[in-house]
Amino acid sequence: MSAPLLSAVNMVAGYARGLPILHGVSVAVAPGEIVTLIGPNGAGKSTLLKAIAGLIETEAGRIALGGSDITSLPAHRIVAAGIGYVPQTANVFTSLTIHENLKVGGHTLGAGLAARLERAYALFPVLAEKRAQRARTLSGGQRQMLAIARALMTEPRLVMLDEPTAGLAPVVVGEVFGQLRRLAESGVAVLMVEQNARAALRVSDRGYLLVEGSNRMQGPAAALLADAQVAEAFLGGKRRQPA
Amino acid sequence: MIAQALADGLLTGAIIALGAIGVSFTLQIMRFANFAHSELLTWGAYIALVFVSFAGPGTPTGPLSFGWQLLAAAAAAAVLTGLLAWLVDRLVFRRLRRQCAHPLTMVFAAFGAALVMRHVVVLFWGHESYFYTRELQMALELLPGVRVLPDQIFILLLAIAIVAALHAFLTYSRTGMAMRAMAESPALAQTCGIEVDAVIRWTWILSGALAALAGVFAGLTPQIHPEIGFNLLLALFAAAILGGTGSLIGAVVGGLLVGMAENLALLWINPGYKQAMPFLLLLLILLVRPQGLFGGKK
Repeated sequence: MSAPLLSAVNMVAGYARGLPILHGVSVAVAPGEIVTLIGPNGAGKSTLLKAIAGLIETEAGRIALGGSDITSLPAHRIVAAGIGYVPQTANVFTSLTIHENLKVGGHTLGAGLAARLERAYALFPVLAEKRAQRARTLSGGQRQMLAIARALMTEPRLVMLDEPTAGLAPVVVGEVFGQLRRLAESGVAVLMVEQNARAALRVSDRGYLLVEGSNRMQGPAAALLADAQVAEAFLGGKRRQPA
Repeated sequence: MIAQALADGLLTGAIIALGAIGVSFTLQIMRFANFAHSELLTWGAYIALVFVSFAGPGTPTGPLSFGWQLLAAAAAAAVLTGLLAWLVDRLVFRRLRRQCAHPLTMVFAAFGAALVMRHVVVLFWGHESYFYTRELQMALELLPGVRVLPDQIFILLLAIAIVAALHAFLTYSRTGMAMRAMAESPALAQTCGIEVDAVIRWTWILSGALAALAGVFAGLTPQIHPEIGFNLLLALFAAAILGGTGSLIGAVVGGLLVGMAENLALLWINPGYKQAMPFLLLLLILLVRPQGLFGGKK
C-alpha cells in the first residue's frame, strides 16, 4: 500500500459517551484503493464510518486525511475536507427531486455546481432522465445510484459507503460495484462496509475483519477470501470452489 | 351570511397562516413544539407600535387607514423580531439542543420562554390596548352582503405576496433547499456539508419575521394587546398540524382552513365559545388526519 490518504488510528467511539462500540480500531485507505470492512453484526463497522464522517463523537484516537488532522471536525467540515459518505438507510432526501438531491449534495460548492451536476448526470444517465422526479419514486437501485452521485458531488478524495448493495437485485449489485471500481481507478479512495462480504472483497484491494470493536485480521482481499477461518466464520459457509 | 363568514375567515386565516409557518418550521426542522412562537407575534406587534409612535402610522393612502410609515414599521419589526427569535434560541433552546434534550423538555422550556416574553411586554406597555391608527374606515361591499375593510384586503394581498416569495425562497435558494433537507434528515443534511447551526439560525430569523408580520396585521384589525399572540396560539398549532409534515409551507393552507372554519362555526355556535374553536379543530384534525394534509402515512 502506498502512503495512506485516510488513516484512523486507535479509534474509540460509540453512541453514548463512556459506552464505546469501537475499542481502538485502526484502518487506513490509500488513494485509488477499495477497502472493505467485514465482520459480524455489532463489530462496529458502521460505527467506524459514522465516527470518521463526524456524525458521532470520537472519544479517543486520531483521524487524518491526506496528512491533516480531522478528528474533531463537525460533520459538515469533514465533507469540505474531502470525504463523501453514503449512509445505509435514508441516504437520499425522498421529499426532494433528484436534481435537488444533487444540488444539496453540492451545497458546499460555489460556482462549480453546474459543471458537477452535468458530470453526475453523465456518470449516471438514469438520473438525468428523472431529474425532476421526487427521489421517493426511484427504485432501490436508482436510489443507491442517486446516493452515490450525491456523495460524489463534492469530488471527495475518499468515499465511504455503508452497505451499498443491501436489498438490491443481483444484477444491480454488479452495477454498483462496477461504479465503485471505476471510481477507484480514477484515484478516489473507497471504504465500504458490506454484508455481502464475498462479493465486496472480490472488487476490493484490501479488507479488514473487525470483531467486537477491534481489529481481528487484515490483508489483501484475495487473502481474506482464501482464508478458511474467515470464510467459515464471516463469509457464510465454506469457500466455494472457483467455477 | 355564509359568504361573509368565509370572507372574514379568509382574512383571519391569512394572519394565522403567516404565524403558523414558523410553528411548522420549528416542528419540522428543529423537531419540537414551540409554544413561545405566539409571543413572537405579540413582540412583532409591539415593536411596530414603537416605530409607529415615533413616526406615526402615516397619512391614510387611498382607502387604507395608514401610510407607508406603518409598512416601514412592520418591516423593521420583522427584522427585529427575527433577531429576537434567534436570541431566544441562543439563550434557551440551543443550550438544550447541545445536550440532546428530549422534545418534551424543549416544549416546557418553550412554555417558560413564552411566559417571560409575554410578561416583559406587560411590564413595558401594561395591560391596556393600543391602536396603530384611529382612522375610521368604510367597509366596501365586494359582493352583495359581503363587506370587508380595505385594510383587510390589503393584508390578504400582502400575505399572498409574502407566501409566494417564501415559496420561491424554499424552492430555489441554496438556504431554502438546505432547510427542506434538514426537515427530512438532519444527519444526511450534515453529510452533504450543510451547517446545521446556520440553517437553524435562518429558520429562526424567518419564523420570527413572519410572526411579526402576522402580529402587526392582527394588531391592525383592530387593536394591540399583550395577549394578541397568545389568543392565536391554538389556531397556529391547528394550522401547522393540519398543514402537516411533508411541506414546510403546508401550514398556509392549514391557516386559511382554520380561519374559515372558525368563522363559519360562529354562524351556528355561540360566539362565547369562539376561543374553543381552534381546540375543537385541532382534536378533529388529530382524529381524522393526524399526518396533516401534505404528509404521507408514516
